[in-house]
Amino acid sequence: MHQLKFLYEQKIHFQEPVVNHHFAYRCVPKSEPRQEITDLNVKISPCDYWAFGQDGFGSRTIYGTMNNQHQQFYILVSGIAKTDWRIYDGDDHYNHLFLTQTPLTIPGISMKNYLDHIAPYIQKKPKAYGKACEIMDRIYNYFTYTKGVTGIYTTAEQAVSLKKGVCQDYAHVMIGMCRQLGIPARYVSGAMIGEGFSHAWVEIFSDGKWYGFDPTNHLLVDDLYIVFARGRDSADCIINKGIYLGRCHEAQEIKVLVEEIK
Amino acid sequence: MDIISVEEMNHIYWLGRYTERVYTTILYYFKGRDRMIEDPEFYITYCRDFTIPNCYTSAADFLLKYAFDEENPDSILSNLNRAYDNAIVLRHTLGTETLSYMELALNQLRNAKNSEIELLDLQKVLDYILAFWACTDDYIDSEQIRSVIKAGRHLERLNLYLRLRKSKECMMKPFHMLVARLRKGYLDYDKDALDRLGMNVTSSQIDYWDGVKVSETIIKEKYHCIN
Amino acid sequence: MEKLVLLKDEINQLLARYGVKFGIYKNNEFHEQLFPFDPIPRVIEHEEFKELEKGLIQRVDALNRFLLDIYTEQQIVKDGVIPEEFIFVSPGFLSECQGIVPPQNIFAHIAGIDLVKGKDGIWYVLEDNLRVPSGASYPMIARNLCRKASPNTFRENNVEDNRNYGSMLRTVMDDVNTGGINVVFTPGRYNAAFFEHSYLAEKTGSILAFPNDLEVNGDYLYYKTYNGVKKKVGAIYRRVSDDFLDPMAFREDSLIGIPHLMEVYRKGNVALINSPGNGIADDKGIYYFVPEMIRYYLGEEPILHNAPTYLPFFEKDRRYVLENFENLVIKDVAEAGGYGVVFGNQLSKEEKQQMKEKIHLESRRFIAQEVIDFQDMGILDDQFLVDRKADLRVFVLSGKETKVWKSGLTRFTRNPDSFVVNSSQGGGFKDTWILSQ
Repeated sequence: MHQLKFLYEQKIHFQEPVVNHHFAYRCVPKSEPRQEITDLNVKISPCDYWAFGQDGFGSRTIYGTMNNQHQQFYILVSGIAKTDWRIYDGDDHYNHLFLTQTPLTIPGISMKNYLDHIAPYIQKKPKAYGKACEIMDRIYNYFTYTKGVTGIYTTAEQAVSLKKGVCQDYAHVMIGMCRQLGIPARYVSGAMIGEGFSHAWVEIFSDGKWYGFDPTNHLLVDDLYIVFARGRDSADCIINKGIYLGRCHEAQEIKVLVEEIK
Repeated sequence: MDIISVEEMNHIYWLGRYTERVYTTILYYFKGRDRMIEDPEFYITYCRDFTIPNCYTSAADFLLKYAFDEENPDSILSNLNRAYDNAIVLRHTLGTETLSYMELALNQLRNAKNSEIELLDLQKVLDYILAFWACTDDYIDSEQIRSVIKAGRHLERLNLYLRLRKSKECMMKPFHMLVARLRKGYLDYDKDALDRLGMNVTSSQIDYWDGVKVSETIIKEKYHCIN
Repeated sequence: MEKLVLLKDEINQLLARYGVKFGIYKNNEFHEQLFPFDPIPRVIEHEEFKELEKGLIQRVDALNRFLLDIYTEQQIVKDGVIPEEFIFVSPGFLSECQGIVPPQNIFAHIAGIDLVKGKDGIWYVLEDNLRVPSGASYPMIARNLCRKASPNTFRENNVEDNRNYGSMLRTVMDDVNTGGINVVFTPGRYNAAFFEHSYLAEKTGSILAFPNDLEVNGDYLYYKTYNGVKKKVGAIYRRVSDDFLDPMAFREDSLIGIPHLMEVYRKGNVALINSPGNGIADDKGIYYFVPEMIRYYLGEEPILHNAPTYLPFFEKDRRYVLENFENLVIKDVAEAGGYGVVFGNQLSKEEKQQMKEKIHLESRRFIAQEVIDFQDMGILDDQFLVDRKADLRVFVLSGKETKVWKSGLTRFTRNPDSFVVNSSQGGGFKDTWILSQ
């Protein structure tokens, strides 16, 4: 059991004033068996209104609108999470969906070749859990964590041929491989202790339970992670989305913080 | 109050203005054509009276382009097209029956283009517009909508009469009707501008050019034509 | 009926007078066209329609149950009745709709079911249109004008009145309304079916809303009036496709959508008619499974027939399709509006080979159907009576009750060699008479 203080903050500065600005965020952890959220605090300015919502995977959203002209935008979400990794989610409701590849996870030739290559090692491992451990080990060693070579639209297949990427790519590759082997796998976005950025990892279904794997850090997910959203891939878990009228560039600063309360 | 959006209100107001423009224009076109039997060059005066650019090379060119040329923004057909564009998005407000007279007017004007008896065909366009107005009165329950259409009509008539330098006597009726409609309070308008126009048209020396300009500022910004 | 035939031109002139048009885009320019009307109606006998009606209600009820199931429990997949390959990769399946239970559990409030009558006298369902089916306004207004043109024709024949479509639609809107006004939401004047949008707004007594007239504020959707008052909206009959409905949930570049609409809809604070996500049930691949659905959800034998259909996805069907290619019509499941349909016997040798390879490689993408030899209908071409292919779109409305509109849109092709009956590809329409005794 841990108590974590978390914070998500985004400041946007528009080069020129914008209007009809609509925004949606998936950066609000919700209470669920393994994380209990208290002291939730949301500040958004300027805005006409904001409200809590939910998406098709049950992730919590914040949405709202600022119609009048503005040049700055600020959102802050903070709170306290009591986490306990020993409680598992056993919801198999969407397992069919989490077995289905998406354009971002579907293996192409290089991923299939790689998977063929490591398949004998994976097959030796018992259960989905064991196989996922092996996949994580392999991916961790195969990839070099590198920023700036991949983007939000990079597919698992492209990442495998590059052998480089960030947490989103590690997660997509692991998900694609698990699904290929018949293991339900889902994408998780959230934050982990320290960091300063949002993070992404994977959950796989084995023997009636969902287990968290962090292939980027080669770790099993424990109490030091906070979940924002889940989905089939990163496209289902976009942390911030905004549309507005105005021809201009925006500069934004994002701060994500997770600290332990002792 | 009826449930009407800003854009819808705009369409209602401009529907009034454009139907009036077509109506009054056709009446003057009849007079102009009559004059042109003896004086073919009269079209030059006609354009000047309406303060529209004389983009015509001859009397024959005028006859061809002024009534039926869709590319000419001042043509009767262009103005009827604009009336139609404002009406077609208002079917649920005006009713299909009312709207049918707009369809008839437009089809009639289009078909009159190559007619041997174009003026007689234009007479039918007038008939349909009159029937359209009668229908708006008869069919529309909302006083608000009827009032806004009429405010648009009276304002347009006043504006055209000012351009045509009509006498003070001619000006009084549309002016008073406009004031009566605006006072019902369904449209936001500029009271000062209305007063100024009132002083002007009731004075012994009407400043026509000022009148034309001021008449365009009476109705507030948000009802201005969206093109 | 002879009287009506003589009055063909007059009735078409009346249709022009009332602005009965549909729009098409040619070279990126918008044109409005009159929809040619053929005065000879399709006549369906009283008893025959009763049977059709039962079958249609059964079918639409099952489709609504299916949609509810897919977006909640997914029991039909878990029970292996429909393979998951046909659900979750389909572009019609919208994960944004998972977990949403719409008012009255209705997803397909307005279903446009396309049928043809075979030479064997059997009605076959060709397609279920559950997204934004259009066309009801045309026979509705045409009937009104025909009755005006020839009252005696209707004195002499016992024809069910079809001008109640507006009030039927209104009832559905009221049934699912969550509290607020009813609106018909059109993408705008330059939409192909704008006549219908505005006509149905008039006939249901709804507000016709354009993009920008509607906005979300907090937990509700509002219509913005000119004096600044916001009116809460309880039901939207939306004629904007799913893709463009909410730029925050679907296509971000949509300028005609309502941002955050899906959030408000999920909260149960507005009814969307039809519900988003219905594309999963009128997918050409899912069509194959509709009879199974009826058995699964209703425990009944299907009353209506599907056209004999094969899914190359299944090994056995694939073999059949490749062997009997010449006799089949192949449809791309992702296409609509008569596009993506090829007849096996009309392809050149090379095209055939290419098509067969595609079927091998992307078996999920295609369905194959026997070409139904359907009954021709007489239409007037100038003065002459000629036979042409025609289909029938029947409208099934679901609110608190499921009801079939006692009429339908009969569309015919003017091209004698064509089997594809679709208004976006030229062609005209007829009234559909249901006899009341």
